[in-house]
Amino acid sequence: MSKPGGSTITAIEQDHAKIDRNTRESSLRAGRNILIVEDDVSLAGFLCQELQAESFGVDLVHNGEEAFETLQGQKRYDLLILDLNLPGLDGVSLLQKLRPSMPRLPLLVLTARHSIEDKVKVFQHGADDYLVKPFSFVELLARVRALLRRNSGMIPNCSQVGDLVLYREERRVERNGRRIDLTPREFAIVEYMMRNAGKPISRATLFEEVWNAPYDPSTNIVDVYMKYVRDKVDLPGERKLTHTIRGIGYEFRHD
Amino acid sequence: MTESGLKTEGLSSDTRSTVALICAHFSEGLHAMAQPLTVLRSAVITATAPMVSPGDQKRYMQISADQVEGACQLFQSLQDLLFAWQNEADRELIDLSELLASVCDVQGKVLKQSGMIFVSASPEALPPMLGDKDRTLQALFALLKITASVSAPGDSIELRVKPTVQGFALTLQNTRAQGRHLKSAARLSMALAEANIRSQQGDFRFVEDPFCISFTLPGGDADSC
Repeated sequence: MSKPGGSTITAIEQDHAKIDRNTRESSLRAGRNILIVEDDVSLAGFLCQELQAESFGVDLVHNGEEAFETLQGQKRYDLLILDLNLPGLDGVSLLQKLRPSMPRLPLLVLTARHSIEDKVKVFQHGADDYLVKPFSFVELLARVRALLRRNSGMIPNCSQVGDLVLYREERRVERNGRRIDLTPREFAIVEYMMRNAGKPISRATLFEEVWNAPYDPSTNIVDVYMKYVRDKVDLPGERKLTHTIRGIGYEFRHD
Repeated sequence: MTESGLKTEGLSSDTRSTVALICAHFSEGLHAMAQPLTVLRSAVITATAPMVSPGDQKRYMQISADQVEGACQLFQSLQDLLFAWQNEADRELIDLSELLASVCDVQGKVLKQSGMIFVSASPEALPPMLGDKDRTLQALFALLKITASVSAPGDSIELRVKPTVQGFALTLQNTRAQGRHLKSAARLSMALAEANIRSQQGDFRFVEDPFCISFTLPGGDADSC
């Protein structure tokens, strides 16, 4: 017989282990935008805050109509977190409306319904994953990351510019066999620049993609970080791969 | 079977409808409870993780405290809902005019402070009502509060009361409240109000968009008691 509360303690310990692992584990979160559709203001605010703390760009809407309008707008989202029990246009109707035009948008459904029929219905309507409330944020985070990782299959695991090689899954960057230690932010910059190698990238674009925030021209944070990256990537005597494009920003290229 | 999967074969159609309604009400309650429990579960787990800073720990504990408070209120509503369905309503003669006056006085002030206009249209004197005073008071207060929750400053909330052959027909509406929807806690509160009205043999109808609640309360005289 298990002691009272034993299972709860075990569950919390397991969740702590997940948090530790998540902290160490590589991720592709920088530059990823998530739209949360949840009518409960308190829960929505909490999820938004926690996902932002994990460096995701997060927008929040509270009903189906607003979600549909937001998704038709200019901004590109990498993931949709959708509560099923929404006022007005409910979650299932929104799914049916969205899927024809956005078949590849990863979609995580939140639901308080837990019957097998409900779960099957959610998948039949086009969800990629679901979580039953009350859930724990660490589980949501793990599922978000799994969905993003799955969706990043279109981007090859390995990128190469000259002798600079980046391994996304392993979160490793090497130049001519030399391992380059990068902070998460520096890695996000190198990853984005290598994905767009040969193209000049403006400071504003780089800031918005990596910092998930609107660019403030008065800040020189992009230049500061690019210097850190350049110092690590282009050592004295090595061929220059990071280039400054005057009046625009930066470019990674192998001449 | 009801939508919830509860077996109702062999029950009369009225009983089946009541069972379906009770299931729907408790489903609202469970859905409402799931929200604070999700935040609470997440906040407690994160707050007790090894590398959380003392500042974050304090913030998560505050979030947890707020959610516990919210969950307790919802739990109370669920208990009240169970009580409303399990116990018979009182049948006593009530002066509905007096009851309405006290509700309108208190809630009218709250609505005015929030910048809303409250209009109550009711005949000067109403015949007696035969029902449960506490349940009627809960329903009137809750429904006005719910209507206010979907209203904005400048909106006009109207409460109309009309005597009918069977008793009273009441309508509570805000025609400007379009496209505004009830939160899960408000839906539970409405479920409780509906249970309290139906337990007095009243009818209850609700249209979300534009916002309108209509319900009936039973009339009576001294012989009916």
